[in-house]
Amino acid sequence: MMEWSLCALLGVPLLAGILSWIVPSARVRSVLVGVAAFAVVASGLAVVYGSMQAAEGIWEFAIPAKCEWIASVLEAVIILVILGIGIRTKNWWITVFAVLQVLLAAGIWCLPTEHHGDFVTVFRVDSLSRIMLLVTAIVGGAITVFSLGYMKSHAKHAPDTAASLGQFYFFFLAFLGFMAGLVMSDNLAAFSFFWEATTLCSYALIGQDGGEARRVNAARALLLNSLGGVFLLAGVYLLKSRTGGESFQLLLEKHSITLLPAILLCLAAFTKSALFPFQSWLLGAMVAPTPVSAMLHAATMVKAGVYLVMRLTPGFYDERAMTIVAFAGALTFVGGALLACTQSNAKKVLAYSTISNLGLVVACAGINTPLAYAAGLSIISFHAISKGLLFLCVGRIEQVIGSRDIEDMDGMYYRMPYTTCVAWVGMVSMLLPPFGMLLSKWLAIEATILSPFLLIFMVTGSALTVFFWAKWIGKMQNTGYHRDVPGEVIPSAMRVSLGFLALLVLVTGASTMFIFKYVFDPMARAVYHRYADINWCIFNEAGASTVTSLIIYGGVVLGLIIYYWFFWRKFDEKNIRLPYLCGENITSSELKSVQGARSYDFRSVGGKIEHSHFSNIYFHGIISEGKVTSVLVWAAWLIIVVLIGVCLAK
Amino acid sequence: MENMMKWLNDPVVRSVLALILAPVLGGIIMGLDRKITARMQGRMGPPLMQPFYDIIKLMGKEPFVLHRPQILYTMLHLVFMMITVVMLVTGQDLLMVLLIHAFSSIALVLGGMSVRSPYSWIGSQRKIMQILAYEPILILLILGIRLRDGSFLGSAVLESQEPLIYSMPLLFLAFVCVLAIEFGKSPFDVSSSHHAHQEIVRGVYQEYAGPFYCLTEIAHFYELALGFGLVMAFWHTNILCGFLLETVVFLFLLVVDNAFSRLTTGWMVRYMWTVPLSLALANLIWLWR
Amino acid sequence: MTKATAKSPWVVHVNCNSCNGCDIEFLACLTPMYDAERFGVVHIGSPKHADIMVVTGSVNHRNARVLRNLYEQMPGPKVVVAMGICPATGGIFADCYNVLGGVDKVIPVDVYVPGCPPRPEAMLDGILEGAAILAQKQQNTPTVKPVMKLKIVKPAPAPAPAEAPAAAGATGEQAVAK
Repeated sequence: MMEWSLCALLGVPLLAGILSWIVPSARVRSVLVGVAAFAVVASGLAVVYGSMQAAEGIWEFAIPAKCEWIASVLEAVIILVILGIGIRTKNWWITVFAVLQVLLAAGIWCLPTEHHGDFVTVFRVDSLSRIMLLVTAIVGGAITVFSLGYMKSHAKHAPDTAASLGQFYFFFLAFLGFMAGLVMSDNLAAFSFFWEATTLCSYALIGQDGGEARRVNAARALLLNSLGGVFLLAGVYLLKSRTGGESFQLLLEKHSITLLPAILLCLAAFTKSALFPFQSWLLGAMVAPTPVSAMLHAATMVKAGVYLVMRLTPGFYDERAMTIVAFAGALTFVGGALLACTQSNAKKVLAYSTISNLGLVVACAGINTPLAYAAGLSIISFHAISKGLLFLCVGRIEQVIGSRDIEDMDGMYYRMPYTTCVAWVGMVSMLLPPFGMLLSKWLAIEATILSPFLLIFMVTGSALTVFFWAKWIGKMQNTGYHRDVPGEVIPSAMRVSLGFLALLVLVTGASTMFIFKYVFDPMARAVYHRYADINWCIFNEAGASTVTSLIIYGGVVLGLIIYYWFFWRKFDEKNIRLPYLCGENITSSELKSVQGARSYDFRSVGGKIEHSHFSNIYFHGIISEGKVTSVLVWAAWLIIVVLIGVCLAK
Repeated sequence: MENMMKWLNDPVVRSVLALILAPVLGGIIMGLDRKITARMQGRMGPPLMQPFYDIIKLMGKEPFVLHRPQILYTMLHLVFMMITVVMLVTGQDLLMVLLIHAFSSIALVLGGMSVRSPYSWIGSQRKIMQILAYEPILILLILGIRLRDGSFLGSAVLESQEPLIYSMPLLFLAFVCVLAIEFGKSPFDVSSSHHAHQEIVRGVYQEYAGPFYCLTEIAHFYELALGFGLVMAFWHTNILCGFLLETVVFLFLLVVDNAFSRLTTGWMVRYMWTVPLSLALANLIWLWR
Repeated sequence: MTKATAKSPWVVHVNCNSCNGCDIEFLACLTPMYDAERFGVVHIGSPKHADIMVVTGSVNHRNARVLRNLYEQMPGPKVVVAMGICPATGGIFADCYNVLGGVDKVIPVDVYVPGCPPRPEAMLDGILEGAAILAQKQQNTPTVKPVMKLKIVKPAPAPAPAEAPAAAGATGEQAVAK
């Protein structure tokens, strides 16, 4: 049964992708994609459930040792494709990296393998994989459904250079399968195949609409990710040469001799997760259609990097190198948040905030205590849901108002109430206490107490995060009074998936404390159980705070009841007044009679009606994006050099 | 007597008492503030109970609003402030208390930004800058407490025998700066000020009228009580010393308020992120042992 | 609540093309000498928080709209105090082509404080009188529509410009210039 679910999870998306590329009819394609999304969710859940039933909650899938070459061959094929792209687009750096990867792959192939049995474990589903699988399947499924509605109208406005929708869905769906494979792989050959495959999908999807800007950004994404591929394969090569095998189990078991390979894998993860200094590709990738940004560049693909770090670090408890990894993450956390404060482009804000959160996960993984580990896990899962939702909302808003600038998003509640409410839920979930993101940040700060110099990064980063979210929420919900808000016309695919994700945010947000207590807490304990000297006390303390959430819920519910009873019910339209504009505001009756008048209009000289304009603070003239970025990039390179130095010195 | 003490230790009783007493205390502090300020300026000043007259009066006014979400945010502001108080007196995790308090301020800001009023908008922007300015220092304060007592729980502070001020005097100074911001004292009263009519009218509070303004005022009372409660916690072992400390801080804030003029938001953030932040960090390094 | 209302009159100050004489005198009420705050008076900038609107200056055609807007934005119960002779009748500007001649042409006025400018004691007295009316209105507001029984004194219908101060002085009973 489990094997079949696994096949469905990996095979159905690929198959549906190929079919939708071939099938000319748009309707059939929609049905195919819908079915594929459903199949991914169902089989993902089946795998998760099945693996939980297995002994110790770990389910393994092994193939005969003599079939091990399949993964390597598939990997080689993908690398050759990347090499081909490099040569065809005459991008020599990509070519150089691809050639390096080919050489490394050949090197790995030639190294002798020590077999411990007739079977090789390819997939290994443990609790970390399960979390990632749930995120990938559920959020990915919802985004796929959204893309059905989005791409239909996107295709109408797309430039002539755009590739066909069939091609889009092929890469999109195939990506889902690859991602699911990636998080389940135990064998590093299979892992690097899936890793390269997601890189390739990302390249194709960023370049979807064609044109110069997309081409450049897609090439940059491919360039940086193939640099990551070089790191990955170099790590695998070293691992195999030192231990004679290539699997995560081996890497973690023999941790005394595998630090350098692990750090190389971490560097690969940095490129995939777009940590500084590799952040530029993720920002460039925002030219892709929105479902792509949501799925690849917020919810799933960039999570592969942090997944890798989370997978590795517990094995290297008490290593100085891991503290330096934490610094790389913390730097990104602050840098991303700071740059997000200076942006007014909504997608860029989301991109920077994604980078920032990924940095936080890496920092948590680097701090390497059970509490930090649990915090990292919860950021991965809650962030994926909220950020996926927000990207979709921005995409939808951009389609309607034709702009992705935050300054253009005022009065959205009147223009598109449904999307605005959903986006509001997503954004508030980043700030509101009982919700997951804030709770994870809380845990992260509590965990940082053990590593002094990280503190300053954590503290400033979290203050900056609050700053840019509050600005955006404020602009988004800024609106006048409207008695009747017209219903929003929105394709049902979009409506369903947005509603589903918003519901997911609310439900997971409301039960965060319990999720933490019954899922993340035992996981972290299970991962760290073999280290006797670990500091558990801090962990017990944070786990005991269910009372906190009860107080919050009690208070909020009581407040809402009072609000409803005393204010909402007794709300009277005659109590509506226009905002204070020194008395120069237009009157309520003029608001109705004058065409195009808004509630914040005022009469200037000669009785002319004019708008009042106000905008957010973006630190213009104080912080320049370019300068800050270059400083951060240099600092990040310095950290990486120190990191490698520390490993070599050991 | 013993029965009484036992009864007081019950968390529910304690939180109910705190919820009732905190605004009363806050109002009295506010009244004292106005009275002493007036005396400093050579005036007679309003009666001590003036803040209570004000809020009772505001309750009876017509409830003018701009739209419904505005009221929701006012409620959230108050409710989260109350939750902060409850969590503090029941000895919950201090960092969480702080984050909830931060959200309470954010709710006020969002309420100010949800309406289409330029003054309210400017006030809200400045309020976020204020939050940005003082949030790191508050977090560092909590971390300092954690380093000293080995626990994030509020109850641990009260159980320890040594007053906090011995081990964290520099953090205390930084905290006084934070208090000045939270209470809207010059030179940090950028977001809403009684003295800035020409500039931002009433800043964040601009568009709240009648009972809703009353709600924000009550929340401010809670905030005052909270702030001075924390000052008290710095010297909890001796009530008299704690009271003395509080008086000193209070008078210091008033003198500064009257002696300084309002400065810009940028200056505030630069100042807070340099002087008090480095004070706090220096104190933390010393606590690290 | 009535008592509290009487003790906490928050004042917003509107200048409808006044010559600034009354404004300066009014602000002087907040100084140590007179200290309006001892009666709970807060000079507040926003009409949305205010109880008493103090108007100075003879109202003209252009700022009548502003005055009306501000008045509408004050939550009830509210009181208007016409500070000085200009807002009462137009004062020396009554004959100007652009002057409406009196705040009561635009919004209902509760207290008139004549004088050019009125003495600070008179101003304080006027505001306190306003506070008393406020309390009266507060008692009536919840159910009954505000009936302004007390202290509504209309000025002489069309006062001659020269006699304007005298006329207002005769009718405005609140003018207690000490």
